[in-house]
Amino acid sequence: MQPLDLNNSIFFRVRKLYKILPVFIFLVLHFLFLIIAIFENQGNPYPLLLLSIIAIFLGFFYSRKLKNDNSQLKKIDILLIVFCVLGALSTYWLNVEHNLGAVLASGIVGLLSSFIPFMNRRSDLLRELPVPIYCGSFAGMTAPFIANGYSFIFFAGLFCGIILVISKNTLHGYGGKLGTVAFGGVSIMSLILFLFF
Amino acid sequence: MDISLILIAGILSALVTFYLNNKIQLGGIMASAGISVFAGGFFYLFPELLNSYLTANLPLIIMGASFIGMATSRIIKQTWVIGISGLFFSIIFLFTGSFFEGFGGNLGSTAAISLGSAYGLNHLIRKLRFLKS
Repeated sequence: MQPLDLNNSIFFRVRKLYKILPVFIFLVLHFLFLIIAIFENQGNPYPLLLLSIIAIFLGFFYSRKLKNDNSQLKKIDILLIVFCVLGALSTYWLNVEHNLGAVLASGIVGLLSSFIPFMNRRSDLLRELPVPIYCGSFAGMTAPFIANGYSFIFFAGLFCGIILVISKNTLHGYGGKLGTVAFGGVSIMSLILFLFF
Repeated sequence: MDISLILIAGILSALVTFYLNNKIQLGGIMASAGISVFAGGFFYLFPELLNSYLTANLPLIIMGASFIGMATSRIIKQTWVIGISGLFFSIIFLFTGSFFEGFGGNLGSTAAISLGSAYGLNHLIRKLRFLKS
Protein backbone atom coordinates (compact mmCIF):
# COMPACT_ATOMS: atom_id res chain seq x y z
CA MET A 1 0.00 0.00 0.00
CA GLN A 2 1.38 3.42 -0.96
CA PRO A 3 1.78 5.98 1.85
CA LEU A 4 -0.60 8.96 1.70
CA ASP A 5 1.18 11.91 0.11
CA LEU A 6 -0.06 14.84 2.16
CA ASN A 7 1.51 17.43 -0.15
CA ASN A 8 -0.65 16.26 -3.05
CA SER A 9 -3.83 15.46 -1.19
CA ILE A 10 -6.97 17.41 -2.14
CA PHE A 11 -7.30 18.62 1.43
CA PHE A 12 -3.83 20.16 1.32
CA ARG A 13 -4.52 21.85 -2.02
CA VAL A 14 -7.84 23.31 -0.85
CA ARG A 15 -6.13 24.58 2.31
CA LYS A 16 -3.37 26.17 0.23
CA LEU A 17 -5.93 27.82 -2.06
CA TYR A 18 -7.87 29.12 0.94
CA LYS A 19 -4.63 30.59 2.30
CA ILE A 20 -3.86 32.64 -0.83
CA LEU A 21 -7.48 33.53 -1.65
CA PRO A 22 -7.80 36.70 0.52
CA VAL A 23 -4.59 38.30 -0.87
CA PHE A 24 -5.72 37.34 -4.38
CA ILE A 25 -9.13 39.01 -3.81
CA PHE A 26 -7.49 42.25 -2.58
CA LEU A 27 -4.96 42.24 -5.43
CA VAL A 28 -7.67 41.78 -8.09
CA LEU A 29 -9.92 44.48 -6.60
CA HIS A 30 -7.11 47.04 -6.25
CA PHE A 31 -5.67 46.55 -9.72
CA LEU A 32 -9.14 46.39 -11.30
CA PHE A 33 -9.91 49.75 -9.70
CA LEU A 34 -6.64 51.32 -10.91
CA ILE A 35 -6.80 49.83 -14.41
CA ILE A 36 -10.33 51.20 -14.92
CA ALA A 37 -9.18 54.63 -13.62
CA ILE A 38 -6.24 54.51 -16.08
CA PHE A 39 -8.57 53.59 -18.98
CA GLU A 40 -10.90 56.46 -18.06
CA ASN A 41 -7.96 58.90 -18.38
CA GLN A 42 -6.65 57.65 -21.71
CA GLY A 43 -6.66 61.10 -23.34
CA ASN A 44 -5.03 62.95 -20.41
CA PRO A 45 -1.26 62.43 -20.14
CA TYR A 46 -0.69 63.77 -16.58
CA PRO A 47 -3.39 61.75 -14.78
CA LEU A 48 -2.33 58.73 -16.83
CA LEU A 49 1.30 59.14 -15.73
CA LEU A 50 0.45 59.69 -12.04
CA LEU A 51 -1.96 56.74 -11.88
CA SER A 52 0.59 54.49 -13.66
CA ILE A 53 3.30 55.47 -11.13
CA ILE A 54 0.89 54.68 -8.26
CA ALA A 55 0.11 51.31 -9.91
CA ILE A 56 3.86 50.50 -10.13
CA PHE A 57 4.34 51.34 -6.41
CA LEU A 58 1.34 49.14 -5.60
CA GLY A 59 3.04 46.38 -7.58
CA PHE A 60 6.08 46.71 -5.27
CA PHE A 61 3.75 46.43 -2.27
CA TYR A 62 2.26 43.15 -3.52
CA SER A 63 5.69 41.82 -4.58
CA ARG A 64 6.65 41.66 -0.88
CA LYS A 65 5.90 38.47 0.96
CA LEU A 66 2.71 39.49 2.73
CA LYS A 67 2.18 37.92 6.12
CA ASN A 68 -0.92 35.81 5.75
CA ASP A 69 -1.90 33.84 8.85
CA ASN A 70 -4.54 31.35 7.95
CA SER A 71 -7.64 32.26 9.89
CA GLN A 72 -9.66 29.48 11.46
CA LEU A 73 -13.37 29.73 10.84
CA LYS A 74 -15.41 29.77 14.04
CA LYS A 75 -19.12 29.72 14.84
CA ILE A 76 -18.86 33.33 16.00
CA ASP A 77 -18.05 34.34 12.40
CA ILE A 78 -21.73 33.90 11.50
CA LEU A 79 -22.48 36.66 13.99
CA LEU A 80 -19.86 38.89 12.31
CA ILE A 81 -21.64 38.39 8.97
CA VAL A 82 -25.00 39.25 10.59
CA PHE A 83 -23.59 42.47 12.07
CA CYS A 84 -22.01 43.37 8.73
CA VAL A 85 -25.48 43.16 7.14
CA LEU A 86 -26.96 45.21 10.01
CA GLY A 87 -24.27 47.89 9.58
CA ALA A 88 -25.01 48.09 5.84
CA LEU A 89 -28.79 48.28 6.27
CA SER A 90 -28.70 50.88 9.06
CA THR A 91 -26.32 53.15 7.09
CA TYR A 92 -28.45 52.91 3.96
CA TRP A 93 -31.57 53.61 6.04
CA LEU A 94 -29.99 56.72 7.63
CA ASN A 95 -28.74 57.91 4.24
CA VAL A 96 -31.91 57.35 2.22
CA GLU A 97 -34.76 57.81 4.71
CA HIS A 98 -33.23 60.66 6.74
CA ASN A 99 -31.20 62.33 3.94
CA LEU A 100 -28.11 62.57 6.13
CA GLY A 101 -25.70 61.87 3.29
CA ALA A 102 -23.52 58.77 2.99
CA VAL A 103 -20.55 60.20 4.95
CA LEU A 104 -22.55 61.30 7.99
CA ALA A 105 -24.67 58.12 7.99
CA SER A 106 -21.65 55.82 7.92
CA GLY A 107 -19.82 57.98 10.45
CA ILE A 108 -22.73 57.83 12.92
CA VAL A 109 -23.07 54.03 12.57
CA GLY A 110 -19.30 53.57 12.94
CA LEU A 111 -19.00 55.94 15.89
CA LEU A 112 -21.90 54.29 17.76
CA SER A 113 -20.46 50.84 17.08
CA SER A 114 -17.08 51.90 18.51
CA PHE A 115 -18.75 52.30 21.94
CA ILE A 116 -20.15 48.72 21.98
CA PRO A 117 -17.02 47.21 23.65
CA PHE A 118 -17.49 49.62 26.59
CA MET A 119 -20.76 47.84 27.48
CA ASN A 120 -18.66 44.99 28.87
CA ARG A 121 -14.89 45.37 28.68
CA ARG A 122 -14.31 41.66 29.41
CA SER A 123 -16.40 40.38 26.51
CA ASP A 124 -14.36 39.17 23.53
CA LEU A 125 -17.50 39.12 21.38
CA LEU A 126 -18.37 42.79 22.00
CA ARG A 127 -14.77 43.77 21.21
CA GLU A 128 -15.08 42.19 17.75
CA LEU A 129 -18.41 43.78 16.75
CA PRO A 130 -17.35 47.34 15.70
CA VAL A 131 -15.23 45.97 12.81
CA PRO A 132 -18.05 44.18 10.90
CA ILE A 133 -20.52 47.00 11.64
CA TYR A 134 -18.16 49.70 10.32
CA CYS A 135 -17.23 47.48 7.36
CA GLY A 136 -20.92 46.90 6.58
CA SER A 137 -21.59 50.63 6.86
CA PHE A 138 -19.27 51.21 3.87
CA ALA A 139 -21.41 48.84 1.79
CA GLY A 140 -24.45 50.78 3.03
CA MET A 141 -22.95 53.98 1.57
CA THR A 142 -23.89 52.69 -1.89
CA ALA A 143 -25.93 55.33 -3.73
CA PRO A 144 -29.66 54.59 -4.25
CA PHE A 145 -29.26 54.78 -8.07
CA ILE A 146 -26.93 51.73 -7.83
CA ALA A 147 -28.63 49.86 -4.97
CA ASN A 148 -32.28 50.23 -5.95
CA GLY A 149 -33.49 49.13 -2.53
CA TYR A 150 -32.78 47.25 0.67
CA SER A 151 -32.44 43.78 -0.90
CA PHE A 152 -29.32 44.89 -2.81
CA ILE A 153 -27.81 46.29 0.41
CA PHE A 154 -28.73 43.12 2.32
CA PHE A 155 -26.88 40.86 -0.13
CA ALA A 156 -23.98 43.31 -0.55
CA GLY A 157 -23.62 43.28 3.27
CA LEU A 158 -23.80 39.48 3.23
CA PHE A 159 -21.00 39.13 0.63
CA CYS A 160 -19.06 41.79 2.46
CA GLY A 161 -19.36 39.77 5.71
CA ILE A 162 -18.22 36.57 3.97
CA ILE A 163 -15.13 38.30 2.49
CA LEU A 164 -14.41 39.86 5.89
CA VAL A 165 -14.50 36.47 7.60
CA ILE A 166 -12.30 34.84 4.92
CA SER A 167 -9.75 37.68 5.13
CA LYS A 168 -9.80 38.12 8.92
CA ASN A 169 -6.03 37.84 9.27
CA THR A 170 -4.99 39.27 5.90
CA LEU A 171 -3.62 42.84 5.66
CA HIS A 172 -4.36 43.19 9.36
CA GLY A 173 -3.45 46.70 10.57
CA TYR A 174 -3.42 48.26 7.08
CA GLY A 175 -5.80 51.18 6.48
CA GLY A 176 -8.48 50.77 3.83
CA LYS A 177 -8.86 47.02 4.29
CA LEU A 178 -12.49 47.25 5.46
CA GLY A 179 -13.38 49.55 2.57
CA THR A 180 -11.86 47.12 0.07
CA VAL A 181 -13.90 44.30 1.64
CA ALA A 182 -17.06 46.42 1.28
CA PHE A 183 -16.12 47.30 -2.29
CA GLY A 184 -15.76 43.57 -2.99
CA GLY A 185 -19.23 42.87 -1.59
CA VAL A 186 -20.88 45.65 -3.60
CA SER A 187 -18.98 44.69 -6.78
CA ILE A 188 -20.06 41.02 -6.51
CA MET A 189 -23.68 42.07 -6.01
CA SER A 190 -23.51 44.50 -8.97
CA LEU A 191 -21.94 41.79 -11.14
CA ILE A 192 -24.74 39.34 -10.21
CA LEU A 193 -27.37 41.97 -11.09
CA PHE A 194 -25.60 42.78 -14.37
CA LEU A 195 -25.29 39.11 -15.40
CA PHE A 196 -28.63 37.65 -14.34
CA PHE A 197 -31.21 40.45 -14.14
CA MET B 1 -7.62 76.58 -5.27
CA ASP B 2 -10.16 73.75 -5.08
CA ILE B 3 -7.52 71.19 -6.03
CA SER B 4 -5.03 72.49 -3.44
CA LEU B 5 -7.73 72.29 -0.74
CA ILE B 6 -8.51 68.69 -1.74
CA LEU B 7 -4.82 67.72 -1.64
CA ILE B 8 -4.32 69.36 1.79
CA ALA B 9 -7.55 67.83 3.18
CA GLY B 10 -6.43 64.32 2.14
CA ILE B 11 -3.01 64.66 3.78
CA LEU B 12 -4.35 66.28 6.98
CA SER B 13 -7.23 63.84 7.43
CA ALA B 14 -4.93 60.82 7.13
CA LEU B 15 -2.39 62.29 9.57
CA VAL B 16 -4.95 63.45 12.18
CA THR B 17 -6.71 60.05 12.15
CA PHE B 18 -3.36 58.26 12.48
CA TYR B 19 -2.51 60.50 15.45
CA LEU B 20 -5.90 59.95 17.15
CA ASN B 21 -5.67 56.22 16.48
CA ASN B 22 -2.12 55.54 17.61
CA LYS B 23 -1.03 58.38 19.88
CA ILE B 24 -4.32 59.19 21.66
CA GLN B 25 -5.18 55.46 21.46
CA LEU B 26 -8.81 55.97 20.38
CA GLY B 27 -8.64 52.96 18.09
CA GLY B 28 -9.03 53.00 14.31
CA ILE B 29 -12.83 52.88 14.15
CA MET B 30 -13.51 55.60 16.72
CA ALA B 31 -10.84 57.87 15.18
CA SER B 32 -12.04 57.43 11.58
CA ALA B 33 -15.77 57.51 12.38
CA GLY B 34 -15.26 60.58 14.60
CA ILE B 35 -13.50 62.44 11.78
CA SER B 36 -16.24 61.35 9.35
CA VAL B 37 -19.05 62.56 11.64
CA PHE B 38 -17.21 65.87 12.09
CA ALA B 39 -16.71 66.35 8.33
CA GLY B 40 -20.17 65.09 7.32
CA GLY B 41 -21.88 67.04 10.10
CA PHE B 42 -20.03 70.29 9.32
CA PHE B 43 -21.01 70.31 5.65
CA TYR B 44 -24.54 69.11 6.52
CA LEU B 45 -24.98 72.12 8.82
CA PHE B 46 -23.16 74.65 6.61
CA PRO B 47 -23.89 73.66 3.00
CA GLU B 48 -23.41 77.21 1.69
CA LEU B 49 -20.00 77.90 3.26
CA LEU B 50 -17.94 76.64 0.29
CA ASN B 51 -18.79 76.18 -3.38
CA SER B 52 -20.97 73.23 -4.42
CA TYR B 53 -18.00 71.14 -5.70
CA LEU B 54 -16.14 71.35 -2.40
CA THR B 55 -19.33 70.90 -0.32
CA ALA B 56 -20.02 67.65 -2.22
CA ASN B 57 -16.45 66.32 -2.35
CA LEU B 58 -14.55 67.51 0.75
CA PRO B 59 -16.50 65.26 3.19
CA LEU B 60 -15.77 62.29 0.90
CA ILE B 61 -12.05 63.17 0.76
CA ILE B 62 -11.83 63.64 4.54
CA MET B 63 -13.67 60.39 5.27
CA GLY B 64 -11.77 58.37 2.66
CA ALA B 65 -8.36 59.64 3.76
CA SER B 66 -9.28 58.91 7.39
CA PHE B 67 -9.32 55.18 6.47
CA ILE B 68 -5.58 55.48 5.78
CA GLY B 69 -5.08 56.69 9.36
CA MET B 70 -6.74 53.50 10.65
CA ALA B 71 -3.40 51.76 9.99
CA THR B 72 -1.50 50.79 13.14
CA SER B 73 1.93 52.22 13.96
CA ARG B 74 3.09 48.61 14.44
CA ILE B 75 2.76 48.15 10.65
CA ILE B 76 3.40 51.71 9.39
CA LYS B 77 6.38 52.94 11.38
CA GLN B 78 7.15 56.14 9.43
CA THR B 79 4.55 58.89 9.65
CA TRP B 80 5.57 60.32 6.24
CA VAL B 81 4.15 57.17 4.62
CA ILE B 82 0.72 58.19 5.97
CA GLY B 83 1.13 61.76 4.65
CA ILE B 84 2.17 60.54 1.19
CA SER B 85 -0.75 58.08 1.23
CA GLY B 86 -3.11 61.00 1.90
CA LEU B 87 -1.63 62.79 -1.11
CA PHE B 88 -1.97 59.67 -3.30
CA PHE B 89 -5.56 59.33 -2.09
CA SER B 90 -6.44 62.85 -3.22
CA ILE B 91 -4.74 62.30 -6.60
CA ILE B 92 -6.62 59.03 -7.25
CA PHE B 93 -9.88 60.64 -6.08
CA LEU B 94 -9.40 63.57 -8.49
CA PHE B 95 -8.65 61.33 -11.47
CA THR B 96 -11.18 58.56 -10.88
CA GLY B 97 -13.98 58.78 -13.42
CA SER B 98 -17.61 57.82 -13.09
CA PHE B 99 -17.32 54.04 -13.53
CA PHE B 100 -17.45 53.22 -9.80
CA GLU B 101 -19.44 56.32 -8.80
CA GLY B 102 -21.91 55.52 -6.02
CA PHE B 103 -20.28 52.18 -5.17
CA GLY B 104 -19.99 51.53 -1.43
CA GLY B 105 -16.40 50.83 -0.40
CA ASN B 106 -15.08 52.96 -3.26
CA LEU B 107 -13.31 55.34 -0.84
CA GLY B 108 -11.89 52.53 1.30
CA SER B 109 -10.52 50.82 -1.77
CA THR B 110 -8.86 54.06 -2.86
CA ALA B 111 -7.42 54.41 0.65
CA ALA B 112 -6.00 50.86 0.56
CA ILE B 113 -4.45 51.47 -2.89
CA SER B 114 -2.92 54.76 -1.65
CA LEU B 115 -1.44 53.20 1.48
CA GLY B 116 -0.24 50.15 -0.47
CA SER B 117 1.54 52.33 -3.04
CA ALA B 118 3.13 54.59 -0.40
CA TYR B 119 4.28 51.45 1.42
CA GLY B 120 5.61 50.12 -1.89
CA LEU B 121 7.49 53.40 -2.44
CA ASN B 122 9.02 53.11 1.05
CA HIS B 123 9.99 49.50 0.29
CA LEU B 124 11.61 50.60 -2.98
CA ILE B 125 13.59 53.41 -1.28
CA ARG B 126 14.89 50.98 1.38
CA LYS B 127 15.94 48.48 -1.31
CA LEU B 128 17.77 51.21 -3.26
CA ARG B 129 19.57 52.34 -0.08
CA PHE B 130 20.55 48.74 0.62
CA LEU B 131 21.94 48.35 -2.90
CA LYS B 132 23.94 51.60 -2.58
CA SER B 133 25.62 50.58 0.68
